[in-house]
Amino acid sequence: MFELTSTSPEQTLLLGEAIASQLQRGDCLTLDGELGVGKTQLVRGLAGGLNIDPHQVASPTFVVMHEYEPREGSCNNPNSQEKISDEVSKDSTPTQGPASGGASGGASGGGGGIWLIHIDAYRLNDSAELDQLGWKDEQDQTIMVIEWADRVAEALPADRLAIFISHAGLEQRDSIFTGHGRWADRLETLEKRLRTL
Amino acid sequence: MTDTSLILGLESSCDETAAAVVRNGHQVLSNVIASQHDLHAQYGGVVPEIASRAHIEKILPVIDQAMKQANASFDDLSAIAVGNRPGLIGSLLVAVSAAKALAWTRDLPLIGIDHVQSHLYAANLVLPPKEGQPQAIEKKPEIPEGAALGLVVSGGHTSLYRVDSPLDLTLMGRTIDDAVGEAYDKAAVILNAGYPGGPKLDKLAQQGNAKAAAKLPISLLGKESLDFSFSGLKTALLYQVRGQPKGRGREAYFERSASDLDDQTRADMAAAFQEAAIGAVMAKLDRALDQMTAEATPPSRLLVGGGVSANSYLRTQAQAWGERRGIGVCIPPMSLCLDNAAMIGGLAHHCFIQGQFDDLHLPAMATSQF
Repeated sequence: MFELTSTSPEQTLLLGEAIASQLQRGDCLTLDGELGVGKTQLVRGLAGGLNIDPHQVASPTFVVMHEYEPREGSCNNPNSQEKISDEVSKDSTPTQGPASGGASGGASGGGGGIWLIHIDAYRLNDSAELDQLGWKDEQDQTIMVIEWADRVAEALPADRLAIFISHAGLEQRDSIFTGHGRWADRLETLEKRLRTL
Repeated sequence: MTDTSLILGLESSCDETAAAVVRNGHQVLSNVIASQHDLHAQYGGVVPEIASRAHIEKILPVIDQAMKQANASFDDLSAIAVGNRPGLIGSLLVAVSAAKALAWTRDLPLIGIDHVQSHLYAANLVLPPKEGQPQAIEKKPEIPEGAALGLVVSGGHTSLYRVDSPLDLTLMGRTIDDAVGEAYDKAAVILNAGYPGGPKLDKLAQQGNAKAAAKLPISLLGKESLDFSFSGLKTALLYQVRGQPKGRGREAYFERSASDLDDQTRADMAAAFQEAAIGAVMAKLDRALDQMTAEATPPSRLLVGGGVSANSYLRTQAQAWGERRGIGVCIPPMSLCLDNAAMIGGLAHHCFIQGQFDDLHLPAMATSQF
């Protein structure tokens, strides 16, 4: 576990981008914290770091799940961009599309980039409802971030990076990073990267 | 080519399961929406939830009821229309699958409709007379020539469109963070206003005086921007209600909560929130109107749709805006503001007369095409 402080929404964006640089296909992040702490803002930073247009990112509270497609011709593919951690080189399967790629027909991008799945559990009543969203089918091909994850704790993947954000002033935010499962071993590398901000 | 139609519309994009029968694109013969209230007694009180399972349980009874109320048989129908985007795939698939099955077995054309687009069409619909009231004179609503300005305000969307015809929309601006309906829901949580947040906050604000509360900031983004941002407003309200954050990390807390405030203060803050949120929408309408005028295509009218168009303050402000700017304002009747299938069946008429049909591969899609 480690803790970081962001002093502005702009810095939260940078934090998100830096976290993205350490991510690989199949990763799951959870975001918890009060209304207005900047959870969606952090996701916007993640998107930017994954070569996804950050303007696509909006709060999925109402519709529960958004799927963001990497930019056309994007190389956020872990194998072709140095920004993404190199420990994933064994994974050479190209991304087939979003979590619901099969169901949503032609929506899958052929660019080979990683889709970001953005889930908001604010309106979910229990863990079973998270399972019904259909993200599990392609979980290992995408990066997934879940806001208000505490509400669906039982349905979360065992390997995940948990981020708890709290208000520490009008613009200041504290973030606590905890690694679960395999993320426990990756935390140190992540911290090292984030401390360079 | 015919310009008459009788279309069964289906909708299951989010929380509501709905079916409606619409004649000629405007005359609503039935408009059935399964929610906590509707069908409650009849089908054992299903609580709306995002699970597609709930839609599966409700879709057939809802279709039956819509056909019965419209006094229509499947042989009378010209087409089956369905909202196939945007929404949750699992939810959308229920109405999409039902529509495909009906279209295939009854050999009827299938028409996929974009839910957001149909919200802007809702103001064209004419509802059946209430029981005991005389039948309204059947008159086809005129759709004026020229472009219109479209505003969709709901829990999931806050967008401005240029509307060249019912089927031809161009996105002009949209929210970059929270939708206005979501901002209302979260403001209601912050102010302890109760559930459902939007209507409760609207009601609370009616008892308040915005001027008695501190003014809330609202971001209009760049000078020319037609995008919306409500996230900062939400956070500003949070600090106003709860004061300064204390403690750190998991022990962080605020000076106070909404329950420490008296009712009048909460009502004043609700009014200030509402004034800021809707004020931002009106400011963007001004910009959009100016932009369309500068492009030599001034809009003939403003079309409003989506769940938040049921909000009383938005309705009065939009009407006042129209009077101030000298353009007509079309807002659907309350019952057609929320998600419904009448708008799906109505808009589908325009696809029908143009022969724009879909085949049985029609996909359910998470995002709007606009």
